[in-house]
Amino acid sequence: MSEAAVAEHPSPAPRHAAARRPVPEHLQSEQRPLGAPWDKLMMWLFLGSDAMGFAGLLGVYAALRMGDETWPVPQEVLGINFTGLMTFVLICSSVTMVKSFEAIQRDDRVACWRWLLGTFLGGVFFLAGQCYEYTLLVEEGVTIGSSNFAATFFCTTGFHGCHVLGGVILLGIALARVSSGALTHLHANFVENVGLYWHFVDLIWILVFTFIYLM
Amino acid sequence: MDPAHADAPHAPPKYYSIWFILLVVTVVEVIVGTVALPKVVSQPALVIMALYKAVLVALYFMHLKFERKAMWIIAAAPLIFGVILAIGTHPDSEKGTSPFQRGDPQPWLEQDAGTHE
Repeated sequence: MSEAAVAEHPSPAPRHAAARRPVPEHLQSEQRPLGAPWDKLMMWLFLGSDAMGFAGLLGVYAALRMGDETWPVPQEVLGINFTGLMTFVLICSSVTMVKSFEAIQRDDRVACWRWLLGTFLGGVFFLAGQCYEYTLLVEEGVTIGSSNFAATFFCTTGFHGCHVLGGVILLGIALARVSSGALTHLHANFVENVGLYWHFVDLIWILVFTFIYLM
Repeated sequence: MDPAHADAPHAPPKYYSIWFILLVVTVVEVIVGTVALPKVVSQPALVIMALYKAVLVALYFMHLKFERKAMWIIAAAPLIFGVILAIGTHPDSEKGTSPFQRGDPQPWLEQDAGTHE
Protein backbone atom coordinates (compact mmCIF):
# COMPACT_ATOMS: atom_id res chain seq x y z
CA MET A 1 0.00 0.00 0.00
CA SER A 2 1.27 3.47 -0.85
CA GLU A 3 2.25 6.36 1.40
CA ALA A 4 -0.93 8.22 0.34
CA ALA A 5 -3.00 5.32 1.55
CA VAL A 6 -1.33 5.57 4.95
CA ALA A 7 -2.28 9.25 5.22
CA GLU A 8 -5.90 8.52 4.24
CA HIS A 9 -6.52 6.29 7.23
CA PRO A 10 -7.39 8.31 10.33
CA SER A 11 -6.07 7.18 13.68
CA PRO A 12 -8.80 4.91 14.97
CA ALA A 13 -9.83 4.60 18.57
CA PRO A 14 -8.56 1.42 20.21
CA ARG A 15 -10.61 -1.29 18.54
CA HIS A 16 -12.74 -3.66 20.59
CA ALA A 17 -11.83 -1.67 23.70
CA ALA A 18 -15.20 -2.31 25.29
CA ALA A 19 -15.10 -6.00 24.48
CA ARG A 20 -11.68 -6.55 26.06
CA ARG A 21 -11.49 -8.41 29.32
CA PRO A 22 -10.04 -6.41 32.21
CA VAL A 23 -6.29 -6.84 32.62
CA PRO A 24 -5.52 -8.99 35.67
CA GLU A 25 -4.01 -7.03 38.53
CA HIS A 26 -0.66 -8.79 38.44
CA LEU A 27 -0.28 -7.85 34.76
CA GLN A 28 -1.13 -4.18 35.19
CA SER A 29 1.51 -1.55 34.58
CA GLU A 30 2.23 -0.94 38.27
CA GLN A 31 3.06 -4.63 38.65
CA ARG A 32 5.43 -4.83 35.66
CA PRO A 33 8.57 -6.71 36.52
CA LEU A 34 11.69 -4.65 35.78
CA GLY A 35 9.46 -1.70 34.88
CA ALA A 36 8.93 -2.90 31.32
CA PRO A 37 5.76 -3.98 29.51
CA TRP A 38 5.36 -7.74 29.38
CA ASP A 39 5.84 -8.02 25.64
CA LYS A 40 9.09 -6.06 25.79
CA LEU A 41 10.33 -8.18 28.68
CA MET A 42 9.53 -11.36 26.74
CA MET A 43 11.35 -9.99 23.69
CA TRP A 44 14.43 -9.30 25.81
CA LEU A 45 14.28 -12.82 27.27
CA PHE A 46 14.00 -14.27 23.75
CA LEU A 47 16.94 -12.17 22.55
CA GLY A 48 19.00 -13.28 25.56
CA SER A 49 18.40 -16.95 24.80
CA ASP A 50 18.92 -16.41 21.08
CA ALA A 51 22.24 -14.71 21.78
CA MET A 52 23.39 -17.90 23.51
CA GLY A 53 22.71 -19.80 20.28
CA PHE A 54 24.99 -17.42 18.42
CA ALA A 55 27.55 -17.67 21.24
CA GLY A 56 27.56 -21.43 20.71
CA LEU A 57 28.15 -21.09 16.97
CA LEU A 58 30.92 -18.53 17.41
CA GLY A 59 32.41 -20.70 20.19
CA VAL A 60 32.54 -23.69 17.84
CA TYR A 61 34.14 -21.50 15.17
CA ALA A 62 36.80 -20.31 17.62
CA ALA A 63 37.52 -23.77 19.04
CA LEU A 64 37.87 -25.38 15.60
CA ARG A 65 39.92 -22.52 14.23
CA MET A 66 42.40 -22.34 17.08
CA GLY A 67 42.91 -26.08 17.03
CA ASP A 68 43.50 -26.25 13.27
CA GLU A 69 46.82 -25.07 11.89
CA THR A 70 45.59 -25.40 8.31
CA TRP A 71 42.74 -22.89 8.74
CA PRO A 72 42.55 -20.53 5.74
CA VAL A 73 42.98 -16.76 6.00
CA PRO A 74 39.36 -15.49 5.78
CA GLN A 75 40.32 -12.33 3.89
CA GLU A 76 41.72 -14.50 1.07
CA VAL A 77 38.50 -16.49 0.71
CA LEU A 78 35.77 -13.93 1.50
CA GLY A 79 35.01 -10.59 -0.13
CA ILE A 80 35.65 -8.08 2.65
CA ASN A 81 34.73 -4.92 0.73
CA PHE A 82 31.36 -6.25 -0.40
CA THR A 83 30.55 -7.54 3.08
CA GLY A 84 31.63 -4.17 4.45
CA LEU A 85 28.96 -2.62 2.22
CA MET A 86 26.38 -5.09 3.58
CA THR A 87 27.42 -4.12 7.11
CA PHE A 88 27.05 -0.44 6.22
CA VAL A 89 23.51 -1.03 4.94
CA LEU A 90 22.55 -3.03 8.05
CA ILE A 91 23.82 -0.26 10.36
CA CYS A 92 21.87 2.31 8.32
CA SER A 93 18.74 0.15 8.64
CA SER A 94 19.11 0.22 12.43
CA VAL A 95 18.91 4.01 12.32
CA THR A 96 15.82 3.97 10.07
CA MET A 97 14.25 1.44 12.45
CA VAL A 98 14.74 3.59 15.52
CA LYS A 99 13.45 6.64 13.62
CA SER A 100 10.27 4.72 12.73
CA PHE A 101 9.73 4.05 16.43
CA GLU A 102 10.19 7.74 17.18
CA ALA A 103 7.65 8.58 14.47
CA ILE A 104 4.96 6.17 15.66
CA GLN A 105 5.35 7.46 19.22
CA ARG A 106 4.19 10.90 18.04
CA ASP A 107 1.56 9.20 15.81
CA ASP A 108 3.24 10.38 12.61
CA ARG A 109 2.25 7.30 10.65
CA VAL A 110 3.46 8.57 7.28
CA ALA A 111 6.97 9.12 8.62
CA CYS A 112 6.82 5.77 10.42
CA TRP A 113 5.83 4.06 7.16
CA ARG A 114 8.70 5.72 5.28
CA TRP A 115 11.31 4.76 7.89
CA LEU A 116 9.94 1.22 8.10
CA LEU A 117 10.12 0.92 4.32
CA GLY A 118 13.77 2.03 4.42
CA THR A 119 14.51 -0.61 7.05
CA PHE A 120 12.66 -3.25 5.05
CA LEU A 121 14.63 -2.42 1.89
CA GLY A 122 17.88 -2.50 3.86
CA GLY A 123 17.04 -6.01 5.07
CA VAL A 124 16.16 -7.14 1.55
CA PHE A 125 19.45 -5.72 0.25
CA PHE A 126 21.36 -7.59 2.96
CA LEU A 127 19.64 -10.88 2.10
CA ALA A 128 20.27 -10.38 -1.62
CA GLY A 129 23.92 -9.62 -0.86
CA GLN A 130 24.24 -12.78 1.20
CA CYS A 131 22.71 -14.88 -1.60
CA TYR A 132 25.17 -13.30 -4.06
CA GLU A 133 28.09 -14.00 -1.72
CA TYR A 134 27.04 -17.64 -1.26
CA THR A 135 26.66 -18.07 -5.02
CA LEU A 136 30.18 -16.78 -5.65
CA LEU A 137 31.62 -19.06 -2.95
CA VAL A 138 29.83 -22.16 -4.26
CA GLU A 139 31.02 -21.38 -7.79
CA GLU A 140 34.58 -21.29 -6.41
CA GLY A 141 34.04 -24.70 -4.83
CA VAL A 142 33.58 -23.49 -1.24
CA THR A 143 30.59 -25.47 -0.01
CA ILE A 144 29.37 -26.44 3.45
CA GLY A 145 31.14 -29.80 3.21
CA SER A 146 34.44 -28.61 1.78
CA SER A 147 36.19 -27.69 5.05
CA ASN A 148 35.63 -26.87 8.70
CA PHE A 149 36.04 -23.20 7.85
CA ALA A 150 33.30 -23.41 5.21
CA ALA A 151 31.01 -25.45 7.48
CA THR A 152 31.23 -23.00 10.39
CA PHE A 153 31.04 -20.03 8.03
CA PHE A 154 27.87 -21.20 6.31
CA CYS A 155 26.21 -22.35 9.56
CA THR A 156 26.86 -19.09 11.42
CA THR A 157 26.12 -16.65 8.60
CA GLY A 158 23.19 -18.80 7.44
CA PHE A 159 21.68 -18.80 10.93
CA HIS A 160 22.07 -15.04 11.01
CA GLY A 161 20.57 -14.77 7.52
CA CYS A 162 17.50 -16.68 8.75
CA HIS A 163 17.16 -14.07 11.49
CA VAL A 164 17.36 -11.27 8.91
CA LEU A 165 14.66 -13.04 6.88
CA GLY A 166 12.49 -13.25 10.01
CA GLY A 167 13.08 -9.55 10.63
CA VAL A 168 12.14 -8.66 7.05
CA ILE A 169 8.87 -10.62 7.44
CA LEU A 170 8.16 -8.80 10.74
CA LEU A 171 8.88 -5.46 9.05
CA GLY A 172 6.51 -6.41 6.24
CA ILE A 173 3.78 -7.12 8.81
CA ALA A 174 4.46 -3.76 10.51
CA LEU A 175 4.31 -1.97 7.14
CA ALA A 176 0.98 -3.63 6.32
CA ARG A 177 -0.43 -2.72 9.75
CA VAL A 178 0.62 0.93 9.39
CA SER A 179 -0.82 1.02 5.87
CA SER A 180 -4.17 -0.34 7.00
CA GLY A 181 -4.39 2.11 9.89
CA ALA A 182 -4.29 -0.70 12.45
CA LEU A 183 -1.02 0.51 13.95
CA THR A 184 -1.02 3.86 15.74
CA HIS A 185 0.83 5.47 18.63
CA LEU A 186 -1.32 3.29 20.89
CA HIS A 187 0.56 0.27 19.54
CA ALA A 188 4.02 1.81 19.50
CA ASN A 189 5.32 -1.07 21.61
CA PHE A 190 4.84 -3.38 18.60
CA VAL A 191 7.23 -1.24 16.56
CA GLU A 192 9.57 -1.07 19.56
CA ASN A 193 9.69 -4.87 19.83
CA VAL A 194 10.27 -5.29 16.09
CA GLY A 195 13.02 -2.71 16.50
CA LEU A 196 14.60 -4.57 19.42
CA TYR A 197 14.76 -7.69 17.27
CA TRP A 198 16.18 -5.80 14.31
CA HIS A 199 18.89 -4.07 16.37
CA PHE A 200 19.80 -7.45 17.86
CA VAL A 201 20.27 -8.82 14.34
CA ASP A 202 22.51 -5.81 13.60
CA LEU A 203 24.47 -6.32 16.84
CA ILE A 204 25.09 -9.98 16.09
CA TRP A 205 26.24 -9.15 12.56
CA ILE A 206 28.76 -6.66 13.99
CA LEU A 207 30.31 -9.54 15.96
CA VAL A 208 30.06 -12.08 13.12
CA PHE A 209 31.64 -9.65 10.64
CA THR A 210 34.57 -9.05 12.96
CA PHE A 211 35.20 -12.59 14.16
CA ILE A 212 34.63 -14.48 10.89
CA TYR A 213 35.54 -12.00 8.17
CA LEU A 214 38.20 -9.74 9.64
CA MET A 215 40.13 -11.77 12.22
CA MET B 1 15.87 2.44 41.97
CA ASP B 2 12.77 4.54 41.58
CA PRO B 3 10.12 2.28 40.02
CA ALA B 4 9.03 5.08 37.71
CA HIS B 5 12.57 5.63 36.47
CA ALA B 6 12.34 3.31 33.48
CA ASP B 7 9.18 4.97 32.19
CA ALA B 8 10.35 8.52 32.92
CA PRO B 9 10.80 10.68 29.82
CA HIS B 10 14.38 11.18 28.75
CA ALA B 11 16.09 13.19 26.04
CA PRO B 12 16.16 11.12 22.85
CA PRO B 13 19.63 9.85 21.99
CA LYS B 14 21.46 11.49 19.11
CA TYR B 15 20.88 8.63 16.68
CA TYR B 16 22.75 10.20 13.78
CA SER B 17 25.82 10.74 15.95
CA ILE B 18 25.76 7.08 17.00
CA TRP B 19 25.27 6.07 13.36
CA PHE B 20 28.29 8.16 12.31
CA ILE B 21 30.47 6.66 15.05
CA LEU B 22 29.41 3.14 14.00
CA LEU B 23 30.29 3.86 10.37
CA VAL B 24 33.69 5.35 11.22
CA VAL B 25 34.59 2.41 13.49
CA THR B 26 33.44 -0.03 10.76
CA VAL B 27 35.71 1.64 8.21
CA VAL B 28 38.64 1.52 10.67
CA GLU B 29 37.84 -2.16 11.32
CA VAL B 30 37.94 -3.01 7.61
CA ILE B 31 41.26 -1.18 7.25
CA VAL B 32 42.76 -2.92 10.29
CA GLY B 33 41.43 -6.28 9.07
CA THR B 34 42.82 -5.98 5.54
CA VAL B 35 46.21 -4.28 5.93
CA ALA B 36 49.19 -6.33 7.05
CA LEU B 37 49.45 -5.56 10.76
CA PRO B 38 50.96 -7.86 13.39
CA LYS B 39 48.24 -10.10 14.81
CA VAL B 40 49.17 -9.08 18.32
CA VAL B 41 48.04 -5.56 17.38
CA SER B 42 45.20 -6.15 14.93
CA GLN B 43 43.26 -8.86 16.75
CA PRO B 44 42.82 -7.11 20.14
CA ALA B 45 42.01 -3.88 18.26
CA LEU B 46 39.33 -5.65 16.22
CA VAL B 47 37.77 -7.25 19.31
CA ILE B 48 37.69 -3.94 21.17
CA MET B 49 36.12 -2.14 18.21
CA ALA B 50 33.49 -4.87 17.71
CA LEU B 51 32.54 -4.83 21.40
CA TYR B 52 32.41 -1.02 21.38
CA LYS B 53 30.01 -1.07 18.41
CA ALA B 54 27.87 -3.79 20.00
CA VAL B 55 27.63 -1.79 23.24
CA LEU B 56 26.63 1.36 21.33
CA VAL B 57 23.84 -0.51 19.52
CA ALA B 58 22.56 -2.06 22.76
CA LEU B 59 22.72 1.13 24.81
CA TYR B 60 21.27 3.62 22.33
CA PHE B 61 19.37 1.80 19.57
CA MET B 62 17.95 -0.85 21.91
CA HIS B 63 17.52 1.81 24.60
CA LEU B 64 19.18 -0.36 27.24
CA LYS B 65 20.71 2.80 28.70
CA PHE B 66 17.22 3.96 29.67
CA GLU B 67 16.02 0.65 31.10
CA ARG B 68 16.30 -0.36 34.72
CA LYS B 69 19.58 -1.90 35.76
CA ALA B 70 17.76 -5.16 36.50
CA MET B 71 16.99 -5.43 32.79
CA TRP B 72 20.72 -5.33 32.15
CA ILE B 73 20.99 -8.74 33.85
CA ILE B 74 18.91 -10.28 31.06
CA ALA B 75 21.12 -8.61 28.47
CA ALA B 76 24.30 -9.67 30.27
CA ALA B 77 23.28 -13.32 30.80
CA PRO B 78 24.54 -14.47 27.36
CA LEU B 79 27.90 -12.84 28.08
CA ILE B 80 28.24 -14.78 31.33
CA PHE B 81 27.42 -18.05 29.58
CA GLY B 82 29.73 -17.04 26.74
CA VAL B 83 32.64 -16.80 29.17
CA ILE B 84 31.76 -20.24 30.61
CA LEU B 85 31.63 -21.60 27.05
CA ALA B 86 35.03 -20.10 26.22
CA ILE B 87 36.59 -21.61 29.36
CA GLY B 88 34.92 -24.96 28.69
CA THR B 89 36.10 -25.22 25.09
CA HIS B 90 39.60 -23.89 25.74
CA PRO B 91 41.19 -27.34 26.18
CA ASP B 92 39.94 -28.21 22.65
CA SER B 93 41.44 -25.05 21.22
CA GLU B 94 45.14 -25.73 21.56
CA LYS B 95 47.10 -25.69 18.33
CA GLY B 96 47.18 -28.98 16.53
CA THR B 97 44.87 -30.79 18.93
CA SER B 98 41.75 -30.66 16.77
CA PRO B 99 40.78 -34.12 15.49
CA PHE B 100 39.04 -32.41 12.59
CA GLN B 101 41.96 -30.79 10.77
CA ARG B 102 41.73 -30.52 7.02
CA GLY B 103 43.40 -33.50 5.41
CA ASP B 104 42.87 -35.77 8.39
CA PRO B 105 41.11 -39.04 7.60
CA GLN B 106 37.37 -38.68 8.12
CA PRO B 107 36.05 -42.25 7.92
CA TRP B 108 32.42 -41.23 8.35
CA LEU B 109 32.60 -39.18 5.13
CA GLU B 110 34.17 -42.09 3.23
CA GLN B 111 31.46 -44.36 4.61
CA ASP B 112 28.78 -41.92 3.41
CA ALA B 113 30.39 -41.73 -0.02
CA GLY B 114 30.39 -45.52 -0.19
CA THR B 115 26.69 -45.80 0.52
CA HIS B 116 25.84 -43.42 -2.32
CA GLU B 117 27.80 -45.39 -4.91
